[in-house]
Amino acid sequence: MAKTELKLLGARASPYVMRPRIALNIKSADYEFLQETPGSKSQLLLESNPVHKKIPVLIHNGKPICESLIIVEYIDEVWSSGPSILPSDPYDRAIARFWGAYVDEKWFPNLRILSTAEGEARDQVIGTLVEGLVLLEDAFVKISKGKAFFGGDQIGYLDIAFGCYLGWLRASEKMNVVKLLDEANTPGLVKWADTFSAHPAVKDVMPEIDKLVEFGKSLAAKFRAAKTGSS
Amino acid sequence: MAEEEVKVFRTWSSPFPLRVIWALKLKGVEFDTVYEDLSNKSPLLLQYNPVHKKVPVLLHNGKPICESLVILEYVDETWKQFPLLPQDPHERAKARFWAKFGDDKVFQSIVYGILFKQGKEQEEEIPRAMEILQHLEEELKGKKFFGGEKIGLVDLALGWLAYYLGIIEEVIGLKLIDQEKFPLLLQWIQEFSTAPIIQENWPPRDKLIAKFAASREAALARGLK
Repeated sequence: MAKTELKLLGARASPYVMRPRIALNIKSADYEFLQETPGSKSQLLLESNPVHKKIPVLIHNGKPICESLIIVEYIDEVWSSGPSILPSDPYDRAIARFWGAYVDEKWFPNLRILSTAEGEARDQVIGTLVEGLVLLEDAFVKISKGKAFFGGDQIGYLDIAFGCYLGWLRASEKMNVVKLLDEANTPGLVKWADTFSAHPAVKDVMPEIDKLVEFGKSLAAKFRAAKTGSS
Repeated sequence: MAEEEVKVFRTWSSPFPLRVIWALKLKGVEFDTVYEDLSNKSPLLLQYNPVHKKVPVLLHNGKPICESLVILEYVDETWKQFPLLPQDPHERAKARFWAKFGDDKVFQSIVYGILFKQGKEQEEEIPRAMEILQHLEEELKGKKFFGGEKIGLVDLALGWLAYYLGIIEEVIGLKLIDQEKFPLLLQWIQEFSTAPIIQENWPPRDKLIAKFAASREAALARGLK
């Protein structure tokens, strides 16, 4: 397929953008990566995703697909001859989608809160995050059935859905001097995190932790300035 | 086909389990219903949905599936008659997009942003809600249902609007959509709410008005703390 028929609008620091990138890597699909400038939105982005104006957007033969996990399912359906991303059994697919929704709607919002929480609120958020990780550890043990990934021997939908947050998880651990994933509570996930990050489909699209820490610090500073400015 | 066990855990009032009930009935699947009282959750519900402790839960041959949109995809993959999703991958992605939009934006705005608020906060949300609903109006251009000629996933996902929006309007004493700005949405509301199967499964209107009024009071009281 010609490279120009497949474009991905995104940014390196975004965990959501990582998802279709990993999926396209798994399928060995060539694509043009169009990096959005932070703080501004390109005309192409505004035209391709008029409802949300957000990245990632996959543009395939001129047609846009939006929402990261929806894009991953699209990639899996179109590149059907490549390795499968979603499990084949409907029940296993439902479990994968369930936990994908969980990390997006319940778990990750707390990681965002952590970046600006202080004192008791901060301790509470850390507690909530660790509780969530213990649930995910339990899910990992059940779903992986002793294999390396949620998807079994290969990276699958849930590895992608949750794994994309590892960069920010590790950056948060550094910024807050706290361990969220640890051997005591989440030994399976500790091992999985390393294996996932080193996977050929992942390692080149995982952002560098130190760059995320810098970015995170500047975001937190902006947020604090806005807070004090308005009160 | 061997005898299958299909059970739906629901409440009498929540719109989310309705999606599952519509899907199963449209596909002609036999199932049992378990009514839950969310102020007194059954041990079974807590066992089948330990993470969220919510309805709906679909139990199929002893295996629980949770989260209504996840359940809809499971139902569509398991029972192939009356397909809810189109075949084409791009059309499928669009359907999933609008179903998610319904939950993330439409429901959030109308219930959490308007029904559960009052005064200035509610006032400020209304233009945002109108913008959100305008996207739905545009999506209906040239279509009878969001799914096209037939009811599809997006209709089931947004279906609550066709009945509960009127109830919410009555509770807050405000008309949110009118014929001038939302002719297609009003037409869809009429088509969907009176469609076979859908029409027979709406909860009783008066009871819902009372329940939503009470939920609003409780939310406002929490907000004032």
